[in-house]
Amino acid sequence: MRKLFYKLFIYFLLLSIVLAGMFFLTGKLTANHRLGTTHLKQKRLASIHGNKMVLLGGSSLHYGMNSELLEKELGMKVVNMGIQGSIGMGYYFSEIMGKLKKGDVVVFLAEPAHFYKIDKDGEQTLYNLVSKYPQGISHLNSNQLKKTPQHSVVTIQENISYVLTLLAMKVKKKKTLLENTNEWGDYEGHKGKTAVYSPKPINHSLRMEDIEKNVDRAMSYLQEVEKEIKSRGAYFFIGFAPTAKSAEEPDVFQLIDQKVSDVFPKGKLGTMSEYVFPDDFFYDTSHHLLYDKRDDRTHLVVKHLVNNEAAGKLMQKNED
Amino acid sequence: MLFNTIDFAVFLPIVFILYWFVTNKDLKLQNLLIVAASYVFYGWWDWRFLFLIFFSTLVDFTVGMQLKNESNPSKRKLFLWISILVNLGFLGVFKYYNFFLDNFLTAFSFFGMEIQANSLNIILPVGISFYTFQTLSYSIDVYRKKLEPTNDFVAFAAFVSFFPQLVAGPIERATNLLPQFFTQRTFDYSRTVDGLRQILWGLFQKVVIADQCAVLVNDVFENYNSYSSVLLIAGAFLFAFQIYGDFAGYSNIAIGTAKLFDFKLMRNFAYPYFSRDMAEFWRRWHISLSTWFRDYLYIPLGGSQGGKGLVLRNVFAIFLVSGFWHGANWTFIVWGALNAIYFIPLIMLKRNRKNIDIVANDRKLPDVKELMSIIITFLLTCLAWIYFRSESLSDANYYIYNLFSMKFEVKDFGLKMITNLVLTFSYICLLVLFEWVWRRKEYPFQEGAGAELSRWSYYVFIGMLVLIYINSNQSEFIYFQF
Repeated sequence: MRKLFYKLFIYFLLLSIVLAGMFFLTGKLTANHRLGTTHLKQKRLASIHGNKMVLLGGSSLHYGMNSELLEKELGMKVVNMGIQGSIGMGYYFSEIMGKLKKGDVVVFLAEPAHFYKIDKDGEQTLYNLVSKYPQGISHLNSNQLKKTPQHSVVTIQENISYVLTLLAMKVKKKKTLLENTNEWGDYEGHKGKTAVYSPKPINHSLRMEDIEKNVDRAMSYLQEVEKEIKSRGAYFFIGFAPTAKSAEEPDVFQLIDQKVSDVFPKGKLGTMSEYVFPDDFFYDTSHHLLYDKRDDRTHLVVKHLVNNEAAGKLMQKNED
Repeated sequence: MLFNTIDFAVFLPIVFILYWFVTNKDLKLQNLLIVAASYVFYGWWDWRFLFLIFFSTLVDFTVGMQLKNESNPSKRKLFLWISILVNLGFLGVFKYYNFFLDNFLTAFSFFGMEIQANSLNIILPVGISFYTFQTLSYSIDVYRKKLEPTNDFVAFAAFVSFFPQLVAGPIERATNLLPQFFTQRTFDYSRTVDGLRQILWGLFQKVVIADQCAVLVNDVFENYNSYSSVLLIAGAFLFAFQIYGDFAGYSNIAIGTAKLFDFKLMRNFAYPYFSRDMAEFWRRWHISLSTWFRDYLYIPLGGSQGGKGLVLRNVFAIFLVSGFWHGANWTFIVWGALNAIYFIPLIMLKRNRKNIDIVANDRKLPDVKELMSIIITFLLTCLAWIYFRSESLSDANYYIYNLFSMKFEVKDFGLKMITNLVLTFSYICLLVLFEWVWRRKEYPFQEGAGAELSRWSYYVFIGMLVLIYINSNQSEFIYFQF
């Protein structure tokens, strides 16, 4: 029996080592994936010596921001860190916190789901990101680390499939998502593309009480984040992602707006309803703007930043 | 409880440790533990149906005891009928009631008579077709005096509910399994490792082959009207591997698990897709059910003895009943009939035992004739599987009609579809390769042959694939519904 247990131990040890190897190997092979753009974004974040504006958010930010325009309008270096909503807010803030300096500006352009649907500790995607960006593991908290075994095997599976997709893309001479991301971190692969977005029914079964509880939880987390950012001498603002009219949930949006106003009366940039655009502004999902509609959203963000008392002063100072 | 879940991964080591360390080789305690573990295993799905198993156990145990003490032939027959009626009665109510009702209503309405009747809104108890057949085999064998009835209720309850094979077989004969509950069982390292290897292979078949095929199969069979011929062919081909991986996987896990407790279950699959004709296929596919029908239905009906008409009737009877056993739907009956049609020429020409050895037994590869026979047999099987998988007869017929329409559309082959197809076909190639190389053994890498490094590489590689896919597309075993 002892021999059996010994051999089983060796077997599972070997299996763990091989799986860990596969996790990072397949991550490396698929670094051209959207999640792999994190390398690019981190590089830009580290390369800016003066004050910077760090934009945080999900794929709505990756697809829907003209950071170059924003930079020009505000006179401040911009980094678009947006990749995918399901990575979770926890990781967004954790990965930039150590790189913030006095005078930096952090703008969280939240998708509605960030407040009530996506756990702050993220979902499967987070682990896929780590497979492509191993340094990311240092930003995971204990809760996230605990889930690594369970999620890492799914990550390997996703990566294996994506290796084949990349091969097919190569055969078809299609540019990868990484190659389509510019130096600011904005995605440009949808340039010249027409909309394929078709409205779908909103499919979450959460009741309003649950949504409210989740929003409250997100708010208290964001309060902690704000404290930490401010302790580093940086500024924190919350704005919103663009949403297609057909995906608008007025009650939920109103609730979020109210809560954000209550908790961040000075740091809130506009209202959620101001970021609701017609359906034909959207590329493939209800949050991904078409390439040529990005500027509408960018101008709106500029307007809200300039009109914001604290942000306005800051921008003024930068211009001076 | 499903074999491919974390629940079972926790449950099995606990039972294993209790079995070998706590029961202290006490046979009665071991049997009691098996009963308790089996009831937990089954109750994990739905504890309310435990009473069915218990009742079936009680009836057959009592019938066995009565048969032991009774010498009057008519009374003995009566006891046998009690067992048959109770067991088949459960099956009839839970599995076939609504089917018969619907068909009677349809038949009456065809003649212009409208009858009001309510169908039953009941769940089909998992594995009912398996354990009722197992307990029936006990009563029949005791009645035929092939088996001495037991007066140990716990051992008998353990035989009926033995958790590794309770819900999807192999359907054990009482003559094989029951005596093992009275034999001293000892821990044996080699046998345990053999069992673990077989479990690993079974998990590969289920998780990597069946569950991955299921994604494409479900898509193709649900949307067969909008896909072109190439994808419909791929769908039928993949379903053949899905059902094989699913069921052979379950059987391997069950047999492997039983080995951990020093039990030997019968082999259920013997590389059926390497069969050179349909008779060989049916000797290699779901062996425990085929032989059950052979022993308890086909031979009592006369088997292949007698005139051609009688043989024809018997072959049709066994295949139609086998089809109906799988489910209360005309699709299964047509599937059975189609297999009977495949089988009849062989038995009529007395060529049904032509291929009884292992294909290319003395060679590495089959010759052209063997290969062609294997391919033709496989294609015939695939065609029949379309009926097995379809929701209705008209779905199956249209599927086949569209399949032969020879349409090809590039739009069917998006990046995601190509990726899924390439991956799934690669895993199927791996399965076929391993099974071909190890076709002389019960399962690939049995007995740990080969250099240590290559064996361990194989174990780690297969284990890695299982772990990678175990969380995705996890589905119940198809045969649970039967």
